[in-house]
Amino acid sequence: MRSLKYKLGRKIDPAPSIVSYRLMRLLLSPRLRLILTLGLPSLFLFCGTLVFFLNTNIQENIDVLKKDLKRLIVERPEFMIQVAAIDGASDELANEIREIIPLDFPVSYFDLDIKYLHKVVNDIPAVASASIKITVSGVLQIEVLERTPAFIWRKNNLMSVLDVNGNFIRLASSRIDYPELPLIIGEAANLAVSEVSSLMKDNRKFLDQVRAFIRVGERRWDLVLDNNLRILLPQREFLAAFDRMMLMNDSGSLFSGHLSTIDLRLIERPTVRVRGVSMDTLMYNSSGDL
Amino acid sequence: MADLYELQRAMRAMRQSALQRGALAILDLGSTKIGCLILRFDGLDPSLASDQVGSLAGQSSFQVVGSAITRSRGIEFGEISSMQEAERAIRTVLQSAQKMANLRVDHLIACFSGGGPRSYGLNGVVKIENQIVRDEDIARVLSSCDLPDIGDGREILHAQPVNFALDHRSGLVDPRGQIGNNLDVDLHILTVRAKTIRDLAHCVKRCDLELAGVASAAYVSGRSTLVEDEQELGAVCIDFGGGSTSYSIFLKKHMIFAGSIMLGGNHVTRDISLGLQVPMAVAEKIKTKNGGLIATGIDDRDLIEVGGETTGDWEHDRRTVTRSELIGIMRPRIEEILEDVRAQLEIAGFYELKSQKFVLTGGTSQTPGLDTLASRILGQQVRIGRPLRIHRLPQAYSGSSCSALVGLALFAAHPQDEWWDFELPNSSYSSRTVRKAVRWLRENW
Ligand SMILES: Nc1ncnc2c1ncn2[C@@H]1O[C@H](COP(=O)(O)OP(=O)(O)OP(=O)(O)O)[C@@H](O)[C@H]1O
Ligand SMILES: [Mg+2]
Repeated sequence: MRSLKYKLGRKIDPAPSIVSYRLMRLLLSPRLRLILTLGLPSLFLFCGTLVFFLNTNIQENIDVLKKDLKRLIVERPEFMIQVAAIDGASDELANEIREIIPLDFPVSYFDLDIKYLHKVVNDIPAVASASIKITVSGVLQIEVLERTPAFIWRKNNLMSVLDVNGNFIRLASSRIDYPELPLIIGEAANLAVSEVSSLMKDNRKFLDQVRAFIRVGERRWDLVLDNNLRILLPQREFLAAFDRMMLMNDSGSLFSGHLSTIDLRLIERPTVRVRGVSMDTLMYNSSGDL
Repeated sequence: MADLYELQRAMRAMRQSALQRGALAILDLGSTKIGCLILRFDGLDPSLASDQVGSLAGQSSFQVVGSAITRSRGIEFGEISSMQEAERAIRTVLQSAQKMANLRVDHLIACFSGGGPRSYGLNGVVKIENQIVRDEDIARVLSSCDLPDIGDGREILHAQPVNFALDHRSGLVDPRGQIGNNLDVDLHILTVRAKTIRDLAHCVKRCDLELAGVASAAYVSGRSTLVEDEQELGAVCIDFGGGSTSYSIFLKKHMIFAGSIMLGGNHVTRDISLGLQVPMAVAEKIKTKNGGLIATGIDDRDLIEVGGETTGDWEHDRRTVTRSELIGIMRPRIEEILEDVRAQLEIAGFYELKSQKFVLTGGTSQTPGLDTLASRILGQQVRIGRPLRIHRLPQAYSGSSCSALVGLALFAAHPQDEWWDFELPNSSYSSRTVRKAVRWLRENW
């Protein structure tokens, strides 16, 4: 048999068609090649950036998209903090802290600025020190060391609560709210509360009668008792002066109400002032100790 | 004779612009294969671009960046016989070569072996006016040559001043600046049928390229295969192609004669095909595999399977032939070609030259024993010539069948016809000739 393949194979002409030939030459032409390899990409790049920067809408959209994406990650339940637990604070302070921290629960871990939060909580006057941490279970743990009120200080019709060291805690609306706290009055009285403390240390019982400690001239104390008796303490060695007065008072009659002032400022020569009415009484009982 | 150089001037201008662009296509239009090279020029070589005559065209270094060969179609005896077929074949090589080069070329130089080349030797004499030979004198002496009747419908392909003589001092290459009275020039022109060039130009134009030059395959084969000594002292390069055998005689670095015979390797193949009753393709295979020209005793016993087309007849399909028989078929045809060449060389006066060297090249020169046979018929000093090595030419193109292709590349880079640059004398440089040249270009390109 003769094969047909040979005959058929001979018909194939490798010549390219005129169109493909022209196309090849067109693609090989240097100008077009330059345009295709350099011109077009740079044109696209240029147009793209132009459109991008001219059209703020697109930019906004991209911003929104970016935010959405971020939200998606940030707001995973694993990263969310549901509640804040406040330890070591009174209810009042706890409420104050809750009010003051700038958070809407639930909040993401990533949105939390612990440092700032720490500062905010520490800046509350009633807080002596605070530590903040986040527990694994998603709780914002705030541990607070609260300042305990020790004095109530009146100055220019403003009542403030102070701690032992004279640090301001909060304003008080009235004296009634803190009946058990000693009242101190006067300019810069808060700076000398330690003196009051030392005075109170041994004479707690007596001091129950004290209505107020008044700072005079920012240097010494006056004690005003319930019966309007005013005891003027010296600037220095007031403790010794006070002790001496207590010794004189052994009989207990010193504070009985006849006197309006006991002046201890000159320690070796204490002076008393008698009320007008009492003077009469004194004259009748002139056998008295004084 | 004034409009003699117009075609060359036009092509030269185109060639120069191609060199400036840095890329040029080379096309060898053979009867059996069409080859194409893409050359890239690396700029003019400043050391060579002096103001001497020899380098006016700006010789430059080049390299081959693309190459392709295809079987030729529509070409017979070295000229186009079927336009469509030839155009498709040319397009094939041009596409693959440009693709390989990754470079688009717009100018092309082509060579062909057909067109019935004819050589003429021209002579011109002129009196020197100021004792010293200057450019105008050379232009005048070149235009003083009498153009013989080159025949109707023929075109000058090459025109080269071969020799200058000044007052009986002959053999001058560049007589400028010398002192004398009479300037003498020998000019060699090669003409071919105008139709051949026109067909070629048309095909090239159809491929969107511009023809920047044409050359004779005989001349460019000589340029690539003859070594410098042979070109200087005198030698003939014989290009045994497929459809034709062309030859060119070189002396003093110039081609002084060229011609061709309408016989070639394809005729040998046809003889085998007829003698052995096998198809041409099989005959070609037998020829290249087992062919030879000198029979020895052992060839009587060397059996060659003829095979051929499978007819189903076992006896017919399994024929064998001895190598002696094959040689017996091939040899007469080769002898005929060689004898024709010898006859033409005798007419040209080659055998009167002192040096008679024969360099055989072309595809058919690879036939074993051709050099022996040629030395018996042509002359003593015969060698097989391979083309010069050029930069980055693929190995496949270094065979002798590509000598015309390589020679054309050399010709494109170092053209020898730089004489067109001399301005013609004003007297003969009339507007008529310019118009004629323009018309010629418009008609043909
Ligand atoms: N190894 C070989 N032995 C013998 N002949 C060969 C060999 N190789 C090629 N040929 C012959 O060489 C011829 C082709 O030669 P070449 O390629 O030089 O021709 P061409 O240039 O195409 O034609 P032309 O120059 O005549 O137009 C073909 O006839 C082929 O049969
Ligand atoms: Mg050839």
